[in-house]
Amino acid sequence: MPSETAPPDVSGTAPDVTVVVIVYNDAARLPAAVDSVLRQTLRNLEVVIVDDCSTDATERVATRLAAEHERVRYLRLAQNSGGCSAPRNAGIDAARGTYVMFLDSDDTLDMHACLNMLQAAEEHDADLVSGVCVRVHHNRSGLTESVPWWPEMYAEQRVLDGVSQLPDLLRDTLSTNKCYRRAFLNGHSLNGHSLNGHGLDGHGLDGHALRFPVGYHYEDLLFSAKAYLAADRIVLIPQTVYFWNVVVRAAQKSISNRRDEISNVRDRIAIHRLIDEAIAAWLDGGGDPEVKIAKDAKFIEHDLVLYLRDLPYQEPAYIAEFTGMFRDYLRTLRPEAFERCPHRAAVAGAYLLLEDDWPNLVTVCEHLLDRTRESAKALERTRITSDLVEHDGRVYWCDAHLDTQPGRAALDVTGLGWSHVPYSRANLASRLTGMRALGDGQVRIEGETVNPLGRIPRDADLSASFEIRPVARAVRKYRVKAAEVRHEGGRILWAAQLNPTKTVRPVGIVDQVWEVRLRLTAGRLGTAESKITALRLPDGAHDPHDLHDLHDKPLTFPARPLLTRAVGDEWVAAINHRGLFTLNLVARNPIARAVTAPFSQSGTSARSARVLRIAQRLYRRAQIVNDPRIKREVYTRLLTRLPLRRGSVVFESHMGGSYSDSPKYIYEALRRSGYRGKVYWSYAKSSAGFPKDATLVRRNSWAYLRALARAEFWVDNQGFPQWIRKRRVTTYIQTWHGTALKRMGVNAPQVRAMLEADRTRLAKAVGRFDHFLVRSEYDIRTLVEAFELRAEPLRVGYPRNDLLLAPDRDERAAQLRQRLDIPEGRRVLLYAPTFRNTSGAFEPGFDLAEFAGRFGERLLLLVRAHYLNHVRVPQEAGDAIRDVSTYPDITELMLVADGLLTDYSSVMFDYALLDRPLLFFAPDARTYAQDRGTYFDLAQRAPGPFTTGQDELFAAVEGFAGADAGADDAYAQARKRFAHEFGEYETGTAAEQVVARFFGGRGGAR
Amino acid sequence: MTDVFIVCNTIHELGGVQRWAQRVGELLAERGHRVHLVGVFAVRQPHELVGTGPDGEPVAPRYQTHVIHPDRYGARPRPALLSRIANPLAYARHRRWQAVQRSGAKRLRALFETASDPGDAVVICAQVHAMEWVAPAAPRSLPVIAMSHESYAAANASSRGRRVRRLYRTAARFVSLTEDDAREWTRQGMNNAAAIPNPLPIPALGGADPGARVVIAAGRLSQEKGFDLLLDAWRAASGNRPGWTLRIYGSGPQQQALREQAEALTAGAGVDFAGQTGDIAAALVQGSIFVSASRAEGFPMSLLEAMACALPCVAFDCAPGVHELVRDGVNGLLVPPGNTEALAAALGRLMDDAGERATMGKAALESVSAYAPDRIVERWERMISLVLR
Repeated sequence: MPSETAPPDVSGTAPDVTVVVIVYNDAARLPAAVDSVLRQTLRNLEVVIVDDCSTDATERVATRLAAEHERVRYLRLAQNSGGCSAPRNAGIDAARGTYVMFLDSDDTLDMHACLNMLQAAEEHDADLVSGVCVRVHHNRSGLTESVPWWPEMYAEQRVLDGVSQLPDLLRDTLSTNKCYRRAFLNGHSLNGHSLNGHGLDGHGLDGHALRFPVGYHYEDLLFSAKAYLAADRIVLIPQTVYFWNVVVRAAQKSISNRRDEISNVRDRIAIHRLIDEAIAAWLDGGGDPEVKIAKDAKFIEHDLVLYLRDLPYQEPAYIAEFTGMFRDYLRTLRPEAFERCPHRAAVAGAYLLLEDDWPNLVTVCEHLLDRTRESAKALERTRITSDLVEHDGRVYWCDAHLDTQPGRAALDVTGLGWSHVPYSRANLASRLTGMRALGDGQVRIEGETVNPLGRIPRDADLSASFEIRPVARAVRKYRVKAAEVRHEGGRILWAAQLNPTKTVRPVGIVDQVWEVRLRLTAGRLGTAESKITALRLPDGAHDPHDLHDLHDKPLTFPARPLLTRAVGDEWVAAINHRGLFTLNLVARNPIARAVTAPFSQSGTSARSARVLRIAQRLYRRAQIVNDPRIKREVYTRLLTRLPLRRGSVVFESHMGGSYSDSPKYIYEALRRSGYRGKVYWSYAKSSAGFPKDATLVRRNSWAYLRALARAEFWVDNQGFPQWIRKRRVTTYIQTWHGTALKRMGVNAPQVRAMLEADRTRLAKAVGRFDHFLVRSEYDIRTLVEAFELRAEPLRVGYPRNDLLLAPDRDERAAQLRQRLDIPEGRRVLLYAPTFRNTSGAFEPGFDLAEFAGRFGERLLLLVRAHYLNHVRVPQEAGDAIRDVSTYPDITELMLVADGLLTDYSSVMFDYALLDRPLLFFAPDARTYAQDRGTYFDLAQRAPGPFTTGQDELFAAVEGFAGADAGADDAYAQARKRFAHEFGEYETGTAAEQVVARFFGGRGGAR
Repeated sequence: MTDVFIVCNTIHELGGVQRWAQRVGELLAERGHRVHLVGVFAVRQPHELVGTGPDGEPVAPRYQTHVIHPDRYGARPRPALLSRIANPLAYARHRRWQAVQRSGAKRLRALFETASDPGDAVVICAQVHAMEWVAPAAPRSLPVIAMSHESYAAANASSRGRRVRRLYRTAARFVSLTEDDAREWTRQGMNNAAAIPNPLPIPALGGADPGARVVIAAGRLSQEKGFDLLLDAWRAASGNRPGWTLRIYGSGPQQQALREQAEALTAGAGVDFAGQTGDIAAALVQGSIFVSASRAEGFPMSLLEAMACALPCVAFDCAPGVHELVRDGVNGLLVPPGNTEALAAALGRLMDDAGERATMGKAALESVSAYAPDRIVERWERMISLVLR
């Protein structure tokens, strides 16, 4: 029997909510948990602390809390129950509130949780209200990361008359982010399915009341499932109610993290069998079978996945017992669950587990360990760990088991999108297979990379390098070239020799764990980057000079941190919890051990917590340097007063997105002219692909601001950040990025709808332009007037189009066709649709697979999506359609294309210069023109067939595919007129003219 | 009977927030609550506050009024970070301002302490700037309901978005004027967000004649209200529809420019600047269509008034408040903001069809019943009793 230290309050009215706080040996954190309840915006509540017979100071702390606050009561169980169930049940029995909530002593409630719960419960007369639980991960360095639990289910408030209305609710198995009507827990006013309500004394597990099962871990799973089944009305609210603190690498893992103990596996399966029994009883009472299917699907995608991830790293005895238990249980699931479970890799894993196919199961585990799987929206970016096979246009995990229908259904992973992810974006599993010390501090590592669907051809020109970088924040990284890389047995084998001591110089403390990435280049496919994983450290991973313990002694090397050997002195090869091969900086000497001790613990001990807090505070203070407001003030007041740097030029294209467009061609002409002024290029995210002979500055960095402030010239095609003031002595050459079809500036509804302040800001931004490149008088009537430009129009055409009018364009086109590996005898059609209002996947409006089937023999379709969109090329399209969206320079693509297909993209105006066929396809012609507004009616003036439906389009493409290149066609005249009207100033010398005018004559001077 | 303290930046004015405070203050007082309207600052030309008697005649208001800084007319902005360091004078001014704020908070706290039952009093803070006084003044036992009278987007276009997040996070409830805005705030982590719309300012009596060939627009003649866009659209809409008049009520800084723009329209375009009016209902029933070309809105009272007079509304869909009131094709027509061609087309559609004007007007009148004063004040009373628990 629990003993009560505070007398029951009989004077006031009953509290609205009772929060049951359970605690076991957690005196340090209990006050914070209780405080989060006492600070609630709802005041009419009580706290019942239930102590599972702690042996530390918990009793003293809890008694003090109960004495200080009249709303706090303290119960202490007579003996330790070892779980959460008995204390929570005691709490329910002691509760006096109309509603009951649960809180663990290491977690906290949001300050509005109780009021939000109460309001929703009363407004909808609900038995159960559930809110968002946020997992707060506290990592080693004391920083936190918040991850909401099932956010998509809680996006809006939902009122459900029973769980049948949302069977997926069973995914949320927590009991703590919820508020229960106390009468409901005690068996009153329940429906007749599983718990019938009579009598007032719902004590214990008598079948009428809802209580936690004593003697199991994962008690939440059963309790929440039973609550869902029994509740007549459930309300889901979008507010965050509960903060679940998860300490990463805590000294003592919490129960729910002890997955590696087999008894936990037993408990989990046992709990699931109990849930199944409860659901079966509920189904007998007329429940909806969809609920059981949803629960089974959740088991596959959640519970199974939790264990599969680290399964290959377990002991053989564990694996044997685990597979036995899971196999038995998986056989009890409904077959629909396997069909409908959205997590196809988990389904493949479940099937391979049932079939006892260990080698293929391991590849599934390896895939599940990938962190991208949890965060990335694009599944195609997740790690591909199997070579995959293709049959009849479908992609399967492996080539075994495909002779049976269930096998094919379970192993079909077409939906993961791996068949059409471009090579450079593919995340190919690269595994360490060998590691050997060579003496002199050298180590040789060997490994293999999967080659899914034989994407990397046998004759591909292979090269590889390795990048060694800290796992946490990659400030420093080091590259090593591969010693060898070759195609063998369908996979790619690679090896490297490195000297960690010499090559890698860590700072120390902040970067103790380093990972290795492989950058594998395969000819024209480009470069793919992947992290190197390891199932186990190879047997050779020991030092040949140290022979006394072959298996347990990992390979080590001396380390030389920048903060000296007082912070670490040895590299140890290891495998981290994500299965990644890492080099860990460890401290062996006593000084280093003492220095690093506060940082290496979990952050819960008082001393390390203080050190971390101070370090964090200093770090955050230092971050003020990067505050945009500070940058702005320093730029305006200080940097713009620095002396001008004569001859310096800052280039930017598409806000730093790429090295492309007219700025690129002006830059190249500048280099050809032998210009010797200081030249900068701005990049937004990665400096890859930008010219090495310029100074590269990251957009919005201090270096960027300094360069802009002191530059004599700015060259850009879109706009430098609006807030950046241009000095009068700086000359801004705005090349712009396309003739306008859709309305711009003051002609565009979006701009007309702007408030005065925004309009002024925009006017100021475009007022910075000194010179504006135009292709025709049409540009002056549209762009120059729409932006109300005062800039001088430069009537020279676009430098990017020089290539299209170059005298040697045919030779260059031939070279490019060869470089792009375009097959002989097929005409190339470039498909370049414009941006639609939403970024992300773009639906072309015609069936790409059908297109490929019909024209594949005669045509090659190059798909170029707008940089904010992407197009999915179906597997069936084979080599008839190629996605060239990531190819940096569209002008080169125009050069190789025999024709252009577009909707409203400004590419049409440039392409018209080539006098090659133009095709138009605009399924949304009417709405597009209405929403955006256009300067002229394209349907009337298009210099090529203008189509809006697939049949029409295919007829036009038929005409294009049949015509001889260069033959005179019906649109020849219209095309010439079109090219002249919109590009009258294009002469093929735009870049030269710009250079001659602004940068001429200074080339040799400096 | 609860003590309700409604705190605004200023009270003796006729801005949107002040009208709201006076109206809700009256309504709550009618229900028997002790209402105090509190302005943080004084107003240079104070407008006298009046209540309405049983026959609509002006009487003394039922609420009490207080001004915290009777001799100050506005805030001194916090100097920017760098100038605080670089300019000691600015810093000193800032410190002096902080002292003023502290003394104001003290006075406000004393006012809160005059509540007859400290356990039965609430504060409604109508503007985020006023929260800088309310937050230090209100003890933990006194629940605060915070309010934002503008759309989520508008708040975030200024520094107010950041201040709302900082100052309103711990308020018992944070009330926006529309459900959409409350949802957006919730998504941004404001777990106390809720919504209560403004009450209808005039009785919902209908009365507009669908046969009248008059389009009405009303509001302050400023850039924000978009009358320049409306005149553009009117040129297209009225071109081949002679006999129609666009009547614009209101005055403001753009009056002259707009008159010139209207005169430049082809003769017979029929734009009539009717100036300000004291009786908006009488003005509205003269027309058969109401049009709003606003670039930004919080909760558009002018639309609500027009609907109460059974006018179908044509409007730019510029804020959640607009599409909460106007359901496209049901009680009016919505068009994308800034798209004057579409606005002209929508106006033309209604101008050509008296039957549609009648059905939409009727639907408009029906849809305003949710904003009837007793419905709104009931929602406020429910919220007040919730935060008092």
